[in-house]
Amino acid sequence: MLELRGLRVTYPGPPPYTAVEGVDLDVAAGAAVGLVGESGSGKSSIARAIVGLARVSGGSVRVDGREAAAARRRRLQELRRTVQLVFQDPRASLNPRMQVGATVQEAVAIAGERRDARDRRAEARRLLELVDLPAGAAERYPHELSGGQLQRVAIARALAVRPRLLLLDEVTASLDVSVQARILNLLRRLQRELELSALYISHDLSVIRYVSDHVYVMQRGRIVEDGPCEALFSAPRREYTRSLLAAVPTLGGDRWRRRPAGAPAPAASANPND
Amino acid sequence: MSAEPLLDVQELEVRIRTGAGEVRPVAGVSFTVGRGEIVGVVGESGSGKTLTSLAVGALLPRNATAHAARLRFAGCDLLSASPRTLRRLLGTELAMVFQDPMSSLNPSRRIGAQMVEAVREHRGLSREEARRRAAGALADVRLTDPAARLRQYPHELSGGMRQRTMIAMGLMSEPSLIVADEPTTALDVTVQAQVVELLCELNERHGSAVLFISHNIALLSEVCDRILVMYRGRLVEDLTVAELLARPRHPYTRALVGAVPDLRTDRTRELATVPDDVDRLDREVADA
Repeated sequence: MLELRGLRVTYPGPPPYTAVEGVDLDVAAGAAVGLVGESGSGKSSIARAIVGLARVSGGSVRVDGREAAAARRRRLQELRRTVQLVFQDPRASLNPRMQVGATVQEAVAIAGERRDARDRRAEARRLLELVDLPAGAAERYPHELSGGQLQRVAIARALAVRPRLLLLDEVTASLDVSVQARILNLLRRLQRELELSALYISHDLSVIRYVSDHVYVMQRGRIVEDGPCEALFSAPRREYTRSLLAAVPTLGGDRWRRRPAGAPAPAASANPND
Repeated sequence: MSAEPLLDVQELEVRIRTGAGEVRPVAGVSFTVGRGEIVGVVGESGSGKTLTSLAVGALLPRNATAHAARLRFAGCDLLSASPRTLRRLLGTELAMVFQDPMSSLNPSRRIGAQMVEAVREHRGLSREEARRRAAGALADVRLTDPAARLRQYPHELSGGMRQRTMIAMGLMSEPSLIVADEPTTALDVTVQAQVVELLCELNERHGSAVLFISHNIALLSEVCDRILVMYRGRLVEDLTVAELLARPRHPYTRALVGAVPDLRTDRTRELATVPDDVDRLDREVADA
C-alpha cells in the first residue's frame, strides 16, 4: 500500500535542515502501522512528505506501487484521494465559519461521485453518523463542538474521499483520556469495517502499542528499530527503544516509589514549627 | 510533631461570576495533605483540579472566589489571614509548578534575576547570597553549569530545562508544599521521567509535600501515596495506590483506569469509556 525507500526530507535553510534521512517504511494493505518517537524526531515530516506537504529531497514514496514523490498535479490529486492525513488539532484544520456538515459536504464534492446537492448532503450525514456524531451535529459550527467531536468531524471529512490509507498524526494528543479512548476505539472499528490501512504517528508508546500491528521507532530523523508490535515491546533490540519503554509510566509501577504503596508518609521532623 | 495536616481543605467551593450569573465549578471538595506526603489529583478538563490548586495558592482569577468550611495551610488559616501574611506564607511555604514554564517565566529577563527576586523579597537575603542559592538550586535540579544558566534567557533553554528551572525557583525558599499542575504534560517521556524523579528526590531530601495534578493516572500511581479523583467539580474518591490497584469503588475511577492504555493493555479488547449518560453516572457518584 505504502512503501518508503531511503526517504530524505530536507527543509530549505539557511542552513538547510534534514529532518528525515534514509527512512524505509512499509504499510501493507489493511495493516495498522505505528511510528513512534520523541518530539523533533521527524515523524510528522514523514507524514507530510507522503502527501506532498513537505518536499522529498531523496529516496522514494510509493503508493500502490506508483511513485508519488515526483507526481504531477493530476496524479497528486489522485494520490490525495487514496491517502488522507488527519492532524492533532482539528480546530486548526476546520474552517471556523462553516457548519461542519458543509465542511464534510465540500470534501464529498471533491470526491466527485455525488453530483446532486441532496446526494452530497445525505452522504455527509452518513459520514457523520459513521463516526458516531449525534444527529444535528451537521448544523453546528466548530466552536460549538468539543475537541473529541471536532476530531470525529476531521475523520469524517478524511473518509469523504474514500481513502484507503489514513495517516493519523497525534490525533489524540490534545484530548482528554476518556475521549482518547473513544477515538481510538472508533479508529480501530473504522479500520476493520472499511478495510483501511493506517499509519499511526505518536509520541505515546502505550497508544502506539495498543493500535499497531507493526511498529517503527524513530530517533533524530532515522528509523532505529522496527518489528511486529508484540516482539518490539516485549524484547526491544535497541538501547534507545529500551530507554523509551523504561520511561513509560505503568499503573502500579514502583519506579519512583521510595516507600511501599500505602505506607504512611515519613514524619517531617525537619519542620521548625512543630 | 503536631497532628495537624500540612494542608487541610474542607468543603471547598469555587464560585465564578460570569455574564450569565454565578457558576460553581468546584463544590464540596475536602482533603488533606500530610507533611512530606505525595498526593495525586487526577481528572479531566473541567473536573476542577486546577481551580482547586489555584484556590489553595490564592491564585484564582479575579472573577473567581474560594469559599470553604476550613482552608488551613502550614498552621495558618488562609480564610482569615491578612493579605500580607498570606503573601509571605504562600511566597515561602508554597511552590507552584505549572504545565507551561514559559507562561510563568518572564521571557525578557535573565533566569538569575527572576530566581533571585522572590527569595530576596521574602527571605531578605543579600544579592550575593541569593545568587549563590539560585546557582545551588539549579545544581540541585541537575542543570549543568548553573552559574552560566543564571545569565541565560528562558528561550535559550529546552522545555525540560525550563521546567527544572521552575522547580529550582520554587525550591529556593524551601517550601513545605509543592503544587505541580501537569508539570510533565508537554514533555517527552524520557524528560518526564527525569522531572518526576526530581520531584521525588526533593520530596525525600527536603521533606516537601507534593500535590501532583495530572490526567495520567498511571503516572500518579507510580509516584503518589494517595490519589484524589475529581470529576465534574467534585472529589469522587480519595484512595491509596493499593486501593486503586485492588478495585476502585467509584465507576468513574474504574472507567478512568480502563480508558488509558499502558504497556500491558489487552490489545484485543476495546478501551473502557466513561458512560455517555453522565446524569446516571452523577447519581452513582452521589450514591457511592
